[in-house]
Amino acid sequence: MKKLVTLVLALCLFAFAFNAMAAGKVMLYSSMQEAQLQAVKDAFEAKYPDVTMDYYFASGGKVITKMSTEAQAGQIEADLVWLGDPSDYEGFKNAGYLQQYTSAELDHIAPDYVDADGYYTAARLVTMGIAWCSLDGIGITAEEAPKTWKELLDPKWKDQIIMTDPAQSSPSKYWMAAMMQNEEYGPAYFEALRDNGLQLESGTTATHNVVAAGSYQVGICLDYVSANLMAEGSPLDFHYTTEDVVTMTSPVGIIANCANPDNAKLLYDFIISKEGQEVLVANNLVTVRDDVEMAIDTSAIAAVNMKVDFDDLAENTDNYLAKFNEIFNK
Amino acid sequence: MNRNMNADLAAVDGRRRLNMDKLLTIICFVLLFIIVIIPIFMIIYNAFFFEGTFSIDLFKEQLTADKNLSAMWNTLKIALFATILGTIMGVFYAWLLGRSDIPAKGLMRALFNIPYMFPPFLGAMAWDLLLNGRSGYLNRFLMTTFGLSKMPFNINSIAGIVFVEVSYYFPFVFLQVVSALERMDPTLEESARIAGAKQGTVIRRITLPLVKPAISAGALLILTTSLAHFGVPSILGYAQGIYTLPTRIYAVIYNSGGSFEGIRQGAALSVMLVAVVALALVLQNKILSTGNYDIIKGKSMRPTLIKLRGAKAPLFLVAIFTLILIVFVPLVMIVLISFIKAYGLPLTPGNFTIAQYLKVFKAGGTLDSIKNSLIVSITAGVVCMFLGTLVAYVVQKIKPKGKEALEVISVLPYSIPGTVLSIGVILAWSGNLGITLYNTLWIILVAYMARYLSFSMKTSSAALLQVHSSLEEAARVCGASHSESLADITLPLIRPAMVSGFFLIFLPAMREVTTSILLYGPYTRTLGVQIYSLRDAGMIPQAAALATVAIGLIIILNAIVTQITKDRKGV
Repeated sequence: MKKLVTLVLALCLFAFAFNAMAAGKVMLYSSMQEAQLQAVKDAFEAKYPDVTMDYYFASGGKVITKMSTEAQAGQIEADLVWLGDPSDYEGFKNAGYLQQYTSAELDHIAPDYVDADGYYTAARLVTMGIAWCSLDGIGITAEEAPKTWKELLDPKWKDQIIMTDPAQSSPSKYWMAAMMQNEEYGPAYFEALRDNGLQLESGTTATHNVVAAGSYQVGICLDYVSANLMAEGSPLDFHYTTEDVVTMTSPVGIIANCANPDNAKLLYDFIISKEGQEVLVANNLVTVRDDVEMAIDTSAIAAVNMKVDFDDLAENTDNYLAKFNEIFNK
Repeated sequence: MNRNMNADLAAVDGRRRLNMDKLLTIICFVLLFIIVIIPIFMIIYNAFFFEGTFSIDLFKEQLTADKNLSAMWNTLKIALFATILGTIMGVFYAWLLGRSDIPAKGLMRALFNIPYMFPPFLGAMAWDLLLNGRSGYLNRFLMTTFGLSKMPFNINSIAGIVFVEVSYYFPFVFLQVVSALERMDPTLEESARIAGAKQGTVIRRITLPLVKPAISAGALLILTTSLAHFGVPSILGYAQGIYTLPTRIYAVIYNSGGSFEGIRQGAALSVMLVAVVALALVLQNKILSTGNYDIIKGKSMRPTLIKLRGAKAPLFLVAIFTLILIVFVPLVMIVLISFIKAYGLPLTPGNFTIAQYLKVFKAGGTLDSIKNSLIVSITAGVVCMFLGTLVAYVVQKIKPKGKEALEVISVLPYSIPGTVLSIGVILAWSGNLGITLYNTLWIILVAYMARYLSFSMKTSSAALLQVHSSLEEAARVCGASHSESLADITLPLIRPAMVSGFFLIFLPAMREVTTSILLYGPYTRTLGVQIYSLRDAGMIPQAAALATVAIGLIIILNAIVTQITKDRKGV
């Protein structure tokens, strides 16, 4: 009898769950941290009260796998996708995942950051640098921490370096590919890193956490993730490298034939608007707009940026990843 | 006279029984075909067929790659050790808590069930925090206390993975054996003792053989679970380059950057894994088929308890120590971490805060995920409870042609890594066959049903094995129809097993991750997915906070349902 009641109850709940699908929704797939997505959601919904923004967050590799599985099944369920590595978007474009859209908000965004065919645009900047644990007795100081990529090859960091597995994370993949492409580094650099005991962690924030916990002395880490964790009180510290800084644009694009195209455009515009970018900046992200105030001076970083050949990245990132996996025997 | 009655009975029986049995058998085959065969077929098809043409190249290439072979070797090693150690531990504690006069039995039994509810990947997280070979809190403490030059333990090793898996999987054997011991006919042991057998001999020659089906069913569950397990090896082994087949499958899928090639490689690797598990199943059937282990149920009083005498105190201490090690330490660690301000800070009062809980409940997904998990787990538990019993009844009592196939089919999905089962389910139910369930709770339900069916099937099966046909026959002699004897004799006798089958499904489904991680739609996150995503995104204190909530929820639900079903559990 009780079991019967349970069964009936379960079926009721089930029916209820499917009634919950209402109009006025927009779905974003992203690899950003949840706190920031939540902040975007709050701000967006405050501006458009009749549209509910939902998000799916996971590391870049997982989002891409989900998208390709869904595409295989007929239709990607998202309305927009916002990941860390621009070279993925060339792939999306070619696979027909994206639709063209020219936003009115593009005026204050450098043309370099916008896809010439109008399929996607950069919505924030992400820069790779070096992080370490700042706890006394466990970690190191800013003076001791490596200041260039080449210093990581110093034997004093033997078995003490961690980075995010490029197969799992878009920014890590972009950094790896940019380094591979650069003649000064190339595969030889990663072989040397391997010989110096570089290890791989499966997710971006996880990498930052093991560095904060003192498992590894130094990590190849992201600026905004470090800033977020430090804001929470994590014993982490971070600086940019003094040469060959690798900055990537994190693009957003609208999915072709998505379920909510109008709401998708609203959210797209909102994300790259002055208002939206200010929300990002308040959450330790770096803006792509020239009219949004920021605490850090992005032009100083831009001065030591590494030259990156985007066409080569779009075409060869998979080959670089294969080379990387070969070097690390994955 | 006797002859006549039997003949009459057979005549009454004949037509009716045949029809009902036939119907049950057909229902069984149809349901299993839909739930299990179709997704598995989709996986195999994609492993061997490329754009419609057959090709074995991909399979060969994967089978001979060194990395895959070493992953396979690791998988086998871990599964074998986890099974052996988990079985020994499960049987020992089942005997100690089920049949000896050890104190605080009820409480300890309840506590020994906790590892079963506790998600193994959280246990791995907790142990990683304590005994990480590079930065574990406990390791660091031991180093400074004893002036060691090196971290004394390294949980990020094969031995560490085995340890964590054993502490979460031994309840498979424990739960099965405890209930078998309770159902056992004590007169068998008593007569052995009257005939002069010593305690050890009674255990070895009478008790152990009687519970052998339960032990073997539990051991098989450990083996298949461990072979397909993803969470623990991924957390403890990934950064160290220790791969098992499931983590390897995950790696090839993600290393391919999401191209369909990776999904196909993963499918090929899971075909390998399925082969290993099928082999294990055949071996288990071989071992079980030597002898007749009917435990005649419902004919006697409860078994007498064995007096431990001098061994009582030391055994009690061992049990307490085990409980502390496998239950309390990881739990306390997760709870402590849920209060820490930021991961990596020392565990001192100044670093504690409740901010993580506030954040967790502020995020809209949390309550949704709890609701979704409850719906899917209860539904899957109830449906599987009946379906599993149906399959068990068909296999054990009706014994149609192809019953081995039925048995293998119902256990098969559990031997496939959840990730790959998900891909099969996606390929099957996202429009390719005309039905689209993708991104709804239904697709998770279908996957859970496939994944957990073997749990209820095995428990009902073990219980049915112990219901001697003489009982049903006695009812028939007294004039009951076939369905009456089924409803009044067989079902009541196996009801406790059905209820425990429900819990065996409901509890792990409540915190399941590997299957739902690829199946959840934007609106259908499950609790396990929510915790895993938080951890995966590196928000470990928040993940720990939600995990603490989840564990509390599961314990409460368990207590409520145990209370409800209490009066029904006895014979």
